[in-house]
Amino acid sequence: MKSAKPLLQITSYYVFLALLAGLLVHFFPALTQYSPIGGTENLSTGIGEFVSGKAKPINVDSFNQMISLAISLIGLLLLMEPVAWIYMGARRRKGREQSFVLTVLLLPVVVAGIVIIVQNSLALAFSLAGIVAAVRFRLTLDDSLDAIFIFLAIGAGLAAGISALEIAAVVTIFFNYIMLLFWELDYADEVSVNRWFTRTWMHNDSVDEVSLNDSESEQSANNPTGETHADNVTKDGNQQDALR
Amino acid sequence: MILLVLGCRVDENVQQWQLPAEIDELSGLAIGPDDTVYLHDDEVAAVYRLSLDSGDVSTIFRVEQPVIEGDFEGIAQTATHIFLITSQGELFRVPRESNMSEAIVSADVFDTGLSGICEVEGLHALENHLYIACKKAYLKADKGTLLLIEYSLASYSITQELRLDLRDVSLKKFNTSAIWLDTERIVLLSARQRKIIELTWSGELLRQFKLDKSRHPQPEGLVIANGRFIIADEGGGNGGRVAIYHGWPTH
Repeated sequence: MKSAKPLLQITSYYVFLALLAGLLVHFFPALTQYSPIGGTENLSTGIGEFVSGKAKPINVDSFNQMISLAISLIGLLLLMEPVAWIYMGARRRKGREQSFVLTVLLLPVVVAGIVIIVQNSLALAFSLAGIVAAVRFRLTLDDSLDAIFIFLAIGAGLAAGISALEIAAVVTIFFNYIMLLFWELDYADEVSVNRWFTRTWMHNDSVDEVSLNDSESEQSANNPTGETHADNVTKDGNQQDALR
Repeated sequence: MILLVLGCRVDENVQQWQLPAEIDELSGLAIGPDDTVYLHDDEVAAVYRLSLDSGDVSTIFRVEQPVIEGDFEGIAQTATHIFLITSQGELFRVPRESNMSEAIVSADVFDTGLSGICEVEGLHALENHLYIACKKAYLKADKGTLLLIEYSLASYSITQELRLDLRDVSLKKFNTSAIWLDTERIVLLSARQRKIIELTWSGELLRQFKLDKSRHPQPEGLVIANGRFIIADEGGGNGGRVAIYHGWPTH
């Protein structure tokens, strides 16, 4: 299994990250106040029913904000590293540029910073549109799958920017394993397509395949102009069964 | 990140609460009992109560079921009633009951007659009167002035219209979002200018302050109690905020 080594490596990496996070929280519980987790709770809007709960204290102390942002960005880089590995390994092809790999790593960091700056503002929606447009403008993507890596990078940056790093974690981890699986199976490459998605499969039965072929051959012989049986009947009412 | 660093400062005299996301479109504030404040929604006739000490927040009432929708811009309380007002000058009056919680109530509705005069944006109760602040005056004669309407709770009619020329107070522009007043001064908040001004009743400017943008993305409500400035902000989708300053919110 060609993906055994990378699979083991990224799994080990994620296990290491999880252990590291657990140890940090255990020995430095004060770090949880800077945790960039749970931000999606604050995204719910709408006219709800009765509300009952507890307001959270906001600490706009800039120093605390900086610590929280730093933790968020470090976590983001650690999550994007395996994505870069998967790209460098599974997408081995001509024209792969170092700048693209670095873009995949650094774009989320920039996006997270921009999101934090414009948060709580309608400008956020327009800024995000600008981010995507700017990225698209500057990047020449030869392959559509490269665009997916870029979107993943943007999405991870957005998640970190709204203190929802757990979403970035789930998405990037899932993405990496799926990419490895597809790479292992050579999924959708020419060989596997020819192996699995044959005309036999499309028509669901090999007998029908033969009958269909005979029918097609006969039609071609009797109708060199390409006209159909129905056309023949229409043109000459006496020729009810032109093919008999 | 650079903007974040450049804009930093430490506020030791302020405490700020982030409300649940469901309470996002905050518009007005009024003082409640036992160190609480009343907050109201901008889009529906719903009033919440927040404990300034513990952060506990809950709905105290909604007007009608389904709840009445509108553009609610101010809240005020007297000993017996809680008032909500829309930007068109529709005044909703709800009996104030102790220990009110998650109630569906009916309201008496009064037309203040302001729909053709100005866009209402603030409300405050003082000595059997409501004082209604206008954000935007419709009449040409009122352009460039701060318009404050005195509304009697005895006759439920307008008794006085106060006009303060902005040029007299050296202000280029001020779009009122909230009002608080007592017998000696009028304090006005502007969300657009992100500023608080304090005036005498004769229109003399006493003080003005700019609010910190990072702490007040969109301030919409103001109340002063026991020397504390309490300012409510819309949340922009993340839940509204309530800041409590122990003194003036200096910048």
